[in-house]
Amino acid sequence: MSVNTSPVRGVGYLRLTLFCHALLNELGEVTQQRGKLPDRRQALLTATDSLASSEGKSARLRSASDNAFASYEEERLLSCILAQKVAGISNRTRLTKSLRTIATPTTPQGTRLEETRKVKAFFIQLSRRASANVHFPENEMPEGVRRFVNS
Amino acid sequence: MSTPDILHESARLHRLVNDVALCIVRARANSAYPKPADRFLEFVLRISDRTKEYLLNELVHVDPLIVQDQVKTLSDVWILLHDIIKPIIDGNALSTPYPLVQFLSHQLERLDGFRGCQVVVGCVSRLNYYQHSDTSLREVLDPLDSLIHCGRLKDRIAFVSLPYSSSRSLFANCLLYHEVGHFVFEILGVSKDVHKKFRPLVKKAFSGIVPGKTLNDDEIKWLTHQLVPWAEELFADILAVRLLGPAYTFVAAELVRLTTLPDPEEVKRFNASHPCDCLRFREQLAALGNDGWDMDVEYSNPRLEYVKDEVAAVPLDDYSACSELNTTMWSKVLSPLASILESNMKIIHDLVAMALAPKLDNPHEHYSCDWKRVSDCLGHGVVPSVTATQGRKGFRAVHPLAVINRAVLFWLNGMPELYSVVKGSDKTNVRDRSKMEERVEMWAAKAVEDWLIMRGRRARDMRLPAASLRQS
Repeated sequence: MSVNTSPVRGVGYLRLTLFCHALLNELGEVTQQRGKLPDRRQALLTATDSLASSEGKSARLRSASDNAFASYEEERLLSCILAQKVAGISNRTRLTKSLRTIATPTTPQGTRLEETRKVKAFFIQLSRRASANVHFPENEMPEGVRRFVNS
Repeated sequence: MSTPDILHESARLHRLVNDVALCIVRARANSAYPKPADRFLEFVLRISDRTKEYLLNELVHVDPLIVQDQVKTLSDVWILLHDIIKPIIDGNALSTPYPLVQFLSHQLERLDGFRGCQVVVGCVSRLNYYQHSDTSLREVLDPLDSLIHCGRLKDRIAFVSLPYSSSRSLFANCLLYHEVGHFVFEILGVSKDVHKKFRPLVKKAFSGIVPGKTLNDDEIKWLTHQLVPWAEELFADILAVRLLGPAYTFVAAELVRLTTLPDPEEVKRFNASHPCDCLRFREQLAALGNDGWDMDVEYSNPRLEYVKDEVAAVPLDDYSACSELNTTMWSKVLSPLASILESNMKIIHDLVAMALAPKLDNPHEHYSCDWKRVSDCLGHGVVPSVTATQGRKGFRAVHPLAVINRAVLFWLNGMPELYSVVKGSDKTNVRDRSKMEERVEMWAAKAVEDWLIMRGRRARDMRLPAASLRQS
């Protein structure tokens, strides 16, 4: 009468890592083609929709499992990386704007390349933190609760 | 990491994937599998092909900055799959309680939003029952498709596991209903409802506890998140008794006696993932009472008395934490959360009712119709498959919910009746008792199977092993 304990305890983090890599492969295509619009844009669109969904806005996700930030842990990790301001990206609106710029066909190649560089840095950081959590997921107590417990 | 290192890691993963695929191919060649399990194993073979192709042909195009990360991530996927696949390989048709699982699938498919759902049963080495989260597996396999284009799982699958030794036991396997309760919790996204309903209660309770500070949204969210696993366990228990009836509670009580005696304190303890047994049994008895089961009189037996008087009756103040939980954390955070949950159990009962509405087949109604017939049959060593009717056909199949509940109760209360009928059996002989009890389970399982056959459900759901297909 238990939920099985696999060595992969943070399945949500594994999902997020996989998603980041699918997205990074698409961004890699932009870099390789010097800012041209990539042929594969599925992960780019999913990322934009997942961010919209996490902010409570309507999104066009195929299924709930397509939402890259569906669970409480993933959302917390995203907030944590945003707080680190990797490549100057410090909030969801800014990240969504960059993703849209990359996926828009009319964006100039130079601008797309520059945004791709920033978004890649952000998602490499996110994927590495998520990957580190796959085997030993963090359940970090918020500061206020910690102070209360230790008081 | 240098290129030779990456090549080494990639080759190691390639070999692991190859070896797992070989195990699946061999198992499918030699054993028959229920179709849902077989389809899943076939899907894993496709993932293995695509993983190998990706490592061979596509990894070279990946940004060098993240190649190592990507190989590690694919390895993590296979570590996860490696664990899931073994119980399924071991859960061939001869090792799983096929009639019960078929009937459980039938009940599951009748729930709103569960049409086409499959139950895949695996066998594990531990003497316990498990559920492997479908949604989390799907959540891994869907983005894996975005990365290596392996396709997606078409069916919703409840992966449940039972002890390898219990394949023939109808009664012990009633605990599978609890595992399916976890599946329903996931698929319907009940954790979000739990968050939504309990967050205001947590906020209110903790605003008075934390001195001089109002907790922010993130902190309230975190606190509420700590009680979600407990709520999930209680949800799964209540759903199990409402789908199956008291057979689940009787069998769960047997497991508790088996695993917690001789320490009666154990049933009062919460751990990080499970509420205490006292609360779990109290709520099961409440749900049974609401569905019309008179647990005080009609189904009384020594084991139930133990559950009612010594387990479910324990008051909230006596609940405690298991040794793995930090005592300060328990007294300041988890104990108040347990108290919020305990005093708002109606929320969980309502969530179960919503999950089961509007098509709940109340087990008590089936039981009321046929319990006497089942008792008479078992008391004379007869399979309780059919009962006479006044209709045109003259007989009808006895519903499995009546069979299972009455058979479990017969096993607990009615065995002396059977010993008096079967000549040469000695009720004081442990071996004779064990054999008789096994027979009662077999007769009940056969009756469930007969009901399935009469509904045309059995034969089409099996895939024969490749070896026997070649012979034929």
